[in-house]
Amino acid sequence: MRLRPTHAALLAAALVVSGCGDVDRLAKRYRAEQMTYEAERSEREARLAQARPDSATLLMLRENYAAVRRAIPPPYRRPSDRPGAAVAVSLLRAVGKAELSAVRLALQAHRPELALEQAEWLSQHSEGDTLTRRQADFAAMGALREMGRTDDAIARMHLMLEQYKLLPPQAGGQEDALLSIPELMVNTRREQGDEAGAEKELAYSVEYYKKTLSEPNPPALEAQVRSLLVRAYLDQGNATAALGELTALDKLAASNPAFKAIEPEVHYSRARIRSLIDKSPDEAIQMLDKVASDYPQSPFAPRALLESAVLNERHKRMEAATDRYNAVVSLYPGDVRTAPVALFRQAMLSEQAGKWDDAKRTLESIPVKYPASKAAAEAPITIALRYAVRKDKSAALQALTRAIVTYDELIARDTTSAYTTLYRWNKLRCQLPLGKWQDGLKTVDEMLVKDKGHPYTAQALIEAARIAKSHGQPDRGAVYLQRYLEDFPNSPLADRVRKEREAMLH
Amino acid sequence: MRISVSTAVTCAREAVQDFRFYEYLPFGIILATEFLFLILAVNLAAPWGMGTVGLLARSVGGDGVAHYPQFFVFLPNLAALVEAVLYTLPGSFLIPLAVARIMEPTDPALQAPGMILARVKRAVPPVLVGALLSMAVLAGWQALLPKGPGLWVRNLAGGGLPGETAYWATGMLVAYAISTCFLCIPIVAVQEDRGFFQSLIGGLKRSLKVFPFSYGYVVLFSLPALITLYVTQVFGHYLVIRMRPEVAAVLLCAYVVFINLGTYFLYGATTRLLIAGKQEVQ
Repeated sequence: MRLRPTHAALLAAALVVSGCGDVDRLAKRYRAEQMTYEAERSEREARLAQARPDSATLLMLRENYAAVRRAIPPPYRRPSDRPGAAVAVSLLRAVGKAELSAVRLALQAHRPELALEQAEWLSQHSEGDTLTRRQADFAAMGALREMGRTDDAIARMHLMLEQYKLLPPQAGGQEDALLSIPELMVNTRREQGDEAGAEKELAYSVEYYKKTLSEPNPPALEAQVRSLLVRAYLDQGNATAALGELTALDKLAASNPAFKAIEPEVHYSRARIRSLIDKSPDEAIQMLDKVASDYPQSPFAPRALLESAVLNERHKRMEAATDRYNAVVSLYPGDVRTAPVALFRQAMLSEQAGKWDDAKRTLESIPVKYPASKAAAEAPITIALRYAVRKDKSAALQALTRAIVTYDELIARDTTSAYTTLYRWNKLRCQLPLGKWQDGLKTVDEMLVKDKGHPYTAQALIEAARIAKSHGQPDRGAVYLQRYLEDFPNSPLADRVRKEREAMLH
Repeated sequence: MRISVSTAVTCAREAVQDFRFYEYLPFGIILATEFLFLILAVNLAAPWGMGTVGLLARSVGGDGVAHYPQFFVFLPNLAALVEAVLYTLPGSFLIPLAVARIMEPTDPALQAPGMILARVKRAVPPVLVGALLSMAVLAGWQALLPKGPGLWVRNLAGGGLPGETAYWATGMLVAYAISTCFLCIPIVAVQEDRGFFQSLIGGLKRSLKVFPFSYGYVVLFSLPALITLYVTQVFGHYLVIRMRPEVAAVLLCAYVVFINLGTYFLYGATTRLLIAGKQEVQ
């Protein structure tokens, strides 16, 4: 049979339809985008109908995103593809976008194990696309933290820092998210009350930054890494090393007018170094105040004011300290990093000045104004403690009752907040002096489920065992200690806890 | 050639009332092709949709337009391109064919076997050149609009929706006036036993002579399509992003039906008008 033009056209059409070339994958990419768009639309509508959708709704919405990977299964690359083939990468990223949205919803629905499974799947199927694998690893890291598997999360962070190369800042100076990991590792350890672990991670961060700087980097990236190194040195209290790095950073900033934006950080860091070196705080305070007045729009302005206030307070210059705390609160009320701390310290200074009513009012306002802050977790119990110091027992007991209500409200407001463990721990601390030991044990049971592996939970378990024993329930106490041994096998207290448990059982 | 308004109105009414599928069929072929295009366009998730319209979109607008939902923002432009190609290339044969079938009852010469096809074949070159010329002038107008007249109209009408509407209406009304100047070429090319240049120049001259009436026809018969096009072009982005992206395809579907029927009625009315004018002269 001779090949006629009609036959050739039919053959070409058949090849197109059967998936020859990139057409098949382009169609799959389009399908993935279509499904994701529909899922986003459903989510938008659900959120319009219900400001905070419940877990069941969130999981239902998540299912729409999760369906994308089932509809378009891997592999997305073909053996014949050249590395980084555009169609393969864009198809993978279209599926990856849906997967990451599913991870986000799983986390919001408090199902981190689902999120972890999806993040791991995406990481395994990233087929050499670094961007997708990085995003998947970030998602897995978040899921591990949410599951309370802090050690695994930190191990993942180490792996990411070793695996991925840092990217220079994007348009607008936005830094690579990878750069936030070292600080995150330190903060995660600190949140757990593991100061030794935090020191270890801080040392690791310093080494990581130094290693990065030993390789050639674009100047913008070098400036970012150097400023992080200065911060890490300052965190370590290593003023000499911080000063050395700061000089290099200063030179870099002077050589390139584009880096003028880092000037406030340079001056702020120099002032902090001065405060570490000098015995008199005068020069450091002056430098910090200058940062705040010269760069009022910079995020370092409220930090400088707060630092200056702390230095003044430490050197008993209460009036100057109060002025600066007031300035932070009034000029930068939106700065959640500094404003709650300033407000808390403001209250403490008011109390010291004999203005207890003002202090109490300020403390009561913190959980309302800054519910997601450490100050919000400390303020309610602080009111009760201050009453106790003032020997006003009935007011202290009333304050404890009010604090429990406040902690319940804070927990209900955002169950995913990083401070929920602290809220529960402080709630327990309020319940015990009120004699509500059964409620207290309920709080500990809740911590066992929701804050598994957290150092506060370890303390709560020991406390619960003591309470149970003192109320004639040694068996229950032994169960709490058993849980302690299971969840914290490497604790230095493990031997003592084991002995106490044995004693309770016999 | 003197034509009264009442004759023009009668021609328009007859064109609509005397709808015959046999005459309409060439336009029906264009409509069917446009429907096929839209069916393929709403099925880019299937390899056969992506392998056809998807690849066409990529070759015109790059990979960025072959994504969902961006494709539906681009679809009106792609559909306009496909429409222009259909009415220019196959249209150079199909429009004279429809005109010849409309003229057949009043032209005994066309009733002889094979005569329609012979006249249509002869009409193709001048009609094609006329269509290309018309497109070139339209392209010139499209290029000029945002630089000169468009700015002036926008300033005069003010910002926001009134400005956008005035800009769009100016663009459309002038574009339709340009098309009207070339409207009679297929009719003249089929009507008389003339050569290429005589058909082309004669068609242009005849178009200008009946311009006030034929322009009235253009606006009248295009009105439903114009309204649909207004919604698609002025609110297109809003409809795609805020509502369902597929709304663009539904509106385009309505538009192609309206414009196709409108074009058929337009040629029907103008052909009758030219025949009536000739008879009045005789």
